[in-house]
Amino acid sequence: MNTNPTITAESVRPASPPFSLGFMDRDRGGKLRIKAKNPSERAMKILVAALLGITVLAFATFDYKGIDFGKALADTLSNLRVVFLEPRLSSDTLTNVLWQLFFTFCLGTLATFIGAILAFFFSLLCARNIANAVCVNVVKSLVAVARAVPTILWVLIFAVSAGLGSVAAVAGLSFHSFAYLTKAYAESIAV
Amino acid sequence: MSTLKKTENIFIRKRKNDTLIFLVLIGIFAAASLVTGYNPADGIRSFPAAIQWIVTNLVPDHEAMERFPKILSELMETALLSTAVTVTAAIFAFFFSLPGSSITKVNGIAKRTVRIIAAFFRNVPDVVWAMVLMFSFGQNILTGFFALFFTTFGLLTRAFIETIDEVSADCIEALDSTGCPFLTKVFQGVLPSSLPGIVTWILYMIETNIRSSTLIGILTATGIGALFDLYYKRLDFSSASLVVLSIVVLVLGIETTSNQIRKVIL
Repeated sequence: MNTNPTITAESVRPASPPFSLGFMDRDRGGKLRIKAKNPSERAMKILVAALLGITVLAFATFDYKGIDFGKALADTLSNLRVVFLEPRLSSDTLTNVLWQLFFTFCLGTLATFIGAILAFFFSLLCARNIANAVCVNVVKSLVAVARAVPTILWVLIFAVSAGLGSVAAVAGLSFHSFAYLTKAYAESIAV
Repeated sequence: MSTLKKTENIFIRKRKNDTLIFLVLIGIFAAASLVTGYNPADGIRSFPAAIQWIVTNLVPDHEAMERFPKILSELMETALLSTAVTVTAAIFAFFFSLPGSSITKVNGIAKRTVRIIAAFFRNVPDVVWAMVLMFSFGQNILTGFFALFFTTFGLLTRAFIETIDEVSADCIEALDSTGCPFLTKVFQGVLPSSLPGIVTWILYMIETNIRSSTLIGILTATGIGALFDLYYKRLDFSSASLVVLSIVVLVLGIETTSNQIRKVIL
């Protein structure tokens, strides 16, 4: 009879611990979880995976029309050099360029002014702590639609009804700044 | 007595200030109107006229509905394009913004260089990028892709620099004290703690890029913009209106989805 039992893996490491460790959360592979379950982290993982998936899908489905990418890239670089590093007044005067820049600045100022004034009154109508719920929802939806239409389309729509010129430009631009500012103002009124 | 006088003075001064600001604003408005030949009366009149025109002309009819499958496929392409642009630009912008943030910066010169480069890409309008790229890429989807890519890259770099600055200061300090290497610091500290901010920006840019791609599409004759341009120039306003409506539905859909997502992840 062998009084000295051979030391085996089983005898050193008992199958179950001698004392209870309580409930231990393990994942499917049997590893201990060291982080709490976090639904927002899970949502984030799904979202990031979805965005990457859509990107890969997009690149796979684009119609590249068999473009020579290397040549196009080289051409682009030389064009960029011409555009940004070799400015020349070949077809215009400096005064006219600066004047047009100033003109554009004035259009932007006018559009922002008008948009801001309109937005102030409309933001009162769609701030939850001032107006009633129906009014808020109606105005908010209208402004959301106005925001969703691209600026260029507003300008083109106004160009048809008001004719070409600064009126159409300012109206189209101010419509879009109005829509953005209304949302921003309403949010800062109803904090 | 003297306190009362002081209070009055404050009110008078405040009123003077307000009047002055108001007059300056009116002055700027008048000057800008003069320069651009803008007539405020015409401007006000143009609003009801435009709304009336929208109500009478911008209504999809039967003929427009026949074009709906084509519009839908172009819309799909535009949505895919703007998502692909935003995600690609975001990946580049994240790595580019690391030396630009004051927390993960390498040195002051690199930080300033990154900010200047980002400002350059952001401030050259996407239309200009599209025009320049048109010469070499032609009427190709890649023209729109790169035009949107450059502006998105500039804007997101700036946004990510701010997100990283705000979010992860303590976390980086903790990781620094353990002697972490740079890349571990980025992937275990900076990225997880700034991911909600980054994703919010990405969702916002996808929405913006769909709108911008309309204008670029008009220039490069690709996507939904080209289709709108085609119908608009043919004076086929009912088909054009269907294009506008489908853009509106898409943008509103993305806006609603991203609001829901934001509620979950923040």
